Amino acid sequence: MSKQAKRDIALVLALLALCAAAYFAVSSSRTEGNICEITVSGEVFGRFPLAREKAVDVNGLCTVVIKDGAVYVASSTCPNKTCVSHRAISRGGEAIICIPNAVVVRVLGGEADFVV
Amino acid sequence: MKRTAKLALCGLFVALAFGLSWVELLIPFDSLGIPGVKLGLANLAVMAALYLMGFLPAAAVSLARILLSWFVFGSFTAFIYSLCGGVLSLAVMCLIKRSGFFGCAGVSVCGAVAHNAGQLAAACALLHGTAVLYYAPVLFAAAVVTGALNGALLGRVLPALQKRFTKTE
Repeated sequence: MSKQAKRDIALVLALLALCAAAYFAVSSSRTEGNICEITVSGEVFGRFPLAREKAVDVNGLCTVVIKDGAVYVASSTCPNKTCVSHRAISRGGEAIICIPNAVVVRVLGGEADFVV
Repeated sequence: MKRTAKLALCGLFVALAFGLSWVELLIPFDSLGIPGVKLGLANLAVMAALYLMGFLPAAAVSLARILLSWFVFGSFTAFIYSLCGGVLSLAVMCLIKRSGFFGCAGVSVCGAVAHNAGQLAAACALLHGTAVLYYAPVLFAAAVVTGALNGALLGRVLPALQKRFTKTE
């Protein structure tokens, strides 16, 4: 095996290990969230408690549903629907991102105060 | 390689890159639970151009593919993301290739990771926040895997291509 091929393999393994470490570091520091924050193009649209079931219409761009302590995007006007196929999220720091509509649904942990 | 041969080959690679980016759309990574992941097959054509003809033709192929996707699929947001990823990816691949430190697979992996980094930077800028970064480890891991596979594939094909296309003097 050539020197370059060995380095290629080492690079792949090192990067994968790094990703795995980052993944576990991020997910183990995550706690169950209690509030979901919706932003549109960086502006906060609203914060909602996960404990209360609710369907939120986000400026006609998409419908966000809060149910059983988790939040998901039920429908969206965007072309690829990546946000709709995303599983429901409930842990602090997790987010569902709709890139075409610039909508971010994010779960916040801790005791952030909320509106609405 | 003659200018005309170069030009024809560039056209061929643009068509290939464009076709491959369409094929990618058919694979439903979104419903497999890892949204946002792509195979990056179009990079095969860009890398082939880079190895056979050098930086400028590769940049031309990449840019033409991105513009073509914009015109055909019609999404300006996707265009901005592709451009950020594509520019950074090609710059990194060119430098790594020139250094000679890594082989095809290594160059491809670095390109895929750079592509992701460019798109994440675009996402942070366009969404005005860092919410996307929580997902970065998954995206980078996927980039390493797909980049390695693409690079290994190209590494196998490249000798044949080089033999065929550098003899057309």
